[in-house]
Amino acid sequence: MEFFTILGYTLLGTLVGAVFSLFPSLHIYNVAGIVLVLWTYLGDSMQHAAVGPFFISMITAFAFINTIPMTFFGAPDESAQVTILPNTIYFMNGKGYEAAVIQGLGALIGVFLMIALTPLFYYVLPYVDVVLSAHMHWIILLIVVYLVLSEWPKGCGFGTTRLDRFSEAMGNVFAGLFTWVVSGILGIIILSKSIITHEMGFQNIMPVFVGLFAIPSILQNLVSTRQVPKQHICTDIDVTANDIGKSAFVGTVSGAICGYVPAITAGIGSIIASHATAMGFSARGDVLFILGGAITKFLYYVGAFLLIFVVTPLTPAGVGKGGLNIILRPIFTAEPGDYLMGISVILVAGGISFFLLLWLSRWVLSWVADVDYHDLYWAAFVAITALVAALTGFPGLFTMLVGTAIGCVPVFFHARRSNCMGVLLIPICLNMAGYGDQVAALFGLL
Amino acid sequence: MSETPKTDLLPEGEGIICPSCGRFVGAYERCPHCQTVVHKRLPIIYIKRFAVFGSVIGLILMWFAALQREVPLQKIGEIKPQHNMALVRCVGKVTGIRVMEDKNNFQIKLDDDTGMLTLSGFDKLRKFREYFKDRFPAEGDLIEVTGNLSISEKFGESMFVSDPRRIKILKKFEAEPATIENIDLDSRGAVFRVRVTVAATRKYRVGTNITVKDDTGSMDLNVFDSEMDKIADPKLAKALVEVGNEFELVVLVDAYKGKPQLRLHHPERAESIKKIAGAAAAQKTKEPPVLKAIEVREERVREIVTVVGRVERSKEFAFGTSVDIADETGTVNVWLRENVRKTVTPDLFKTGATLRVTGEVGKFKDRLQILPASDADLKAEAAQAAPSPAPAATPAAASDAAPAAVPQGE
Repeated sequence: MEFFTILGYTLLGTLVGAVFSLFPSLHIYNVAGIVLVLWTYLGDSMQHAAVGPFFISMITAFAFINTIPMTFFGAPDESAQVTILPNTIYFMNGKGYEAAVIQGLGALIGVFLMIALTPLFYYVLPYVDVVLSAHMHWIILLIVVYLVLSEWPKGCGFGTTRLDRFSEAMGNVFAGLFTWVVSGILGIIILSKSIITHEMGFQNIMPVFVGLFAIPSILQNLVSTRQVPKQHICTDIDVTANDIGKSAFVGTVSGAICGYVPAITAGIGSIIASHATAMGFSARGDVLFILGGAITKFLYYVGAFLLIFVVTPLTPAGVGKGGLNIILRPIFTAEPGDYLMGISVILVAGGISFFLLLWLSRWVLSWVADVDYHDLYWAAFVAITALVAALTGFPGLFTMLVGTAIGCVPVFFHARRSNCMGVLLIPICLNMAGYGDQVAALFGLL
Repeated sequence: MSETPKTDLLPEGEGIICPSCGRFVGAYERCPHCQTVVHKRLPIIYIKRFAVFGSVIGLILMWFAALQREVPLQKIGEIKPQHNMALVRCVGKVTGIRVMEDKNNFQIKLDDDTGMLTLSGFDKLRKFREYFKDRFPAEGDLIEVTGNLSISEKFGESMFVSDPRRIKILKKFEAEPATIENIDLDSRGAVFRVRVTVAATRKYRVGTNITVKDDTGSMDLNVFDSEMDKIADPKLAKALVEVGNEFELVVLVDAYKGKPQLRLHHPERAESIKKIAGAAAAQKTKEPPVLKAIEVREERVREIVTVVGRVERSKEFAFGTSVDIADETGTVNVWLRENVRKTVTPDLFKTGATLRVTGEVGKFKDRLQILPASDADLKAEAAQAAPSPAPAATPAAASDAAPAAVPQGE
């Protein structure tokens, strides 16, 4: 009986995840928040055994299907920054379908990598976790420092005056630094004394992320006048076994970083991994970027959640990371032995999602050129604003507005959007180092 | 008039070319040639300005809003999954504390009558102790705590406290003074301050059962060896098991086999165990009333009294000895518990001997009895104190009993 419950909710979760992943700028964590509210209202009528399969399959479907709005609607989330450029190049060259298939292939590689890495997760990671957890604050600090230092000048130094030339050359660097500082302060305020009502405490961060990532993307697309070129539905893809091997290596490195270290997103993990391996600069950089980015994204979303099932004597509460882990904590606890259930749900949901991705990509491409995508983004803007208003009210809308202003800085000054992750990285680093409350007291927020 | 060439910088020259007459309109919003309204695009510079100034001004406003915000008071019993990570304030009584010195961790159980919340401080014990000093939250304290809730299906509702300023002690717990007669099974769980004398002690495998008494009655105080080890002053721990010493104790009312029993409340704290007087001084200060047998009545149950009478009969049982003593007013039963009987000579309650018995008035099967707590409560008396109705005690019997009893009483 439990088998059918698990299978049924796996299919349902895959379907729900696939449908909501099609909406541009809507993050699966927002959907998970709404589902959690519904789930708690339904109470005992929902089977406890259904929680795990439903949410795992939902996030698995998201890791696959989110490729469609990211590629065809140009709606990148914070994890998309490594794939948006090559994806957009493919899309603008009429090869959007090929980009989607390559990403789907990357996600499938992610599924099999997770199975292959199971012994590592179960027998090595608990020891690594015990050793590293006491040092996480300075590891995060190192990542922050690296990200700040690696925001190289992108300008060419053109201008009539010395100041013009300097600002043109270094504008993105200062924009990046500015983003780090203001998003860090925003994070300290939000995590120390949020203005969001406590009745929706579990969605404290949601308006911030919508503001930092979703709305600037929408704005970026609304001011764009790009025309969607005619798309070609290919029957094969330009990927070699060598590409798969290289991207699997980069994807595993970056997936391990962002799947394990708190508040490190797929974008940040990919930056570090691509710099470390220098593979992004090869002749086939675009393919490696798309394929590796998809693997990273899969490990970041699904792998980080799967670690919740690594329940060992050393890690009795699992080592799960990521937003879904936090959202589900009140209603779900993994038991020893659930790992196999988790991995089998991922296999089923991943297989279905891959074919859904191919089918939905063709369906979307059949009408995307005929529809003004500005209308799509207006609809997304209204929907996401309504969602924030419904869940968090006016304080949430205000928080979203502030986040939007900050999120627009890197978008329109050509800095990295991952700089916005200072909103979590800086307060988490301070809290882990034991200085969080002192800094909050400095702001009068204790 | 020459036609303005179309530009391919923007689709159909959007915003700068009139869509009606196709001529250049520049910054005008209405075509100067044909008066057509021209749709203008939003310049990126506005978004850039919004981004920079909006960030700074928005942050200042948000900081101000956060400063003004009062953290909401949350009843623990009304916490829902949606409250996970919410910043709330809870007010309640501390019902339990667990400290893990080796890991520098602590846990405080907070109860606000609607539910229980666990406050956890990881690697923060020393920091909190340094801040609170001797006012570290203790059981019974009324405290207010502000922090982010963490709700887990496995660990329940908890709150991680990393800074001592997030905990305010609203009212420090003070044990109310009580006498033994006021303590019964209904007081179970309550903490009182009692002034008692050690009447008897009995060591068992993992602890010591100490009978304590005051003017109103006696009761067992159970002290486990682990609790005894927590008493900071070893001399005090030793004195606690010496009969006759008088203490002011902070005790927790517990129950054992359907009877109230006392436990030391935080034996590690100096204020929980205070020695008032030594055995000699305690004896001087406390003299229970000397009653006639007829005065030992129902209303005196649980009072400490003294009766002088002649032993009429005694009978051995498995767990003690029943002795009937009589004076000129009547007869009263004395029950010597096994631990008392073992320490006195049998001659003391030989038929005809005159006995001075001090003990708590108890009731067993509707019969009143006096329950001496230790050998010090039994003393041989001179024969002239013996009452007339009962058979007169022989001088020999009294003199036989006295030497045996007196040294033990001392």
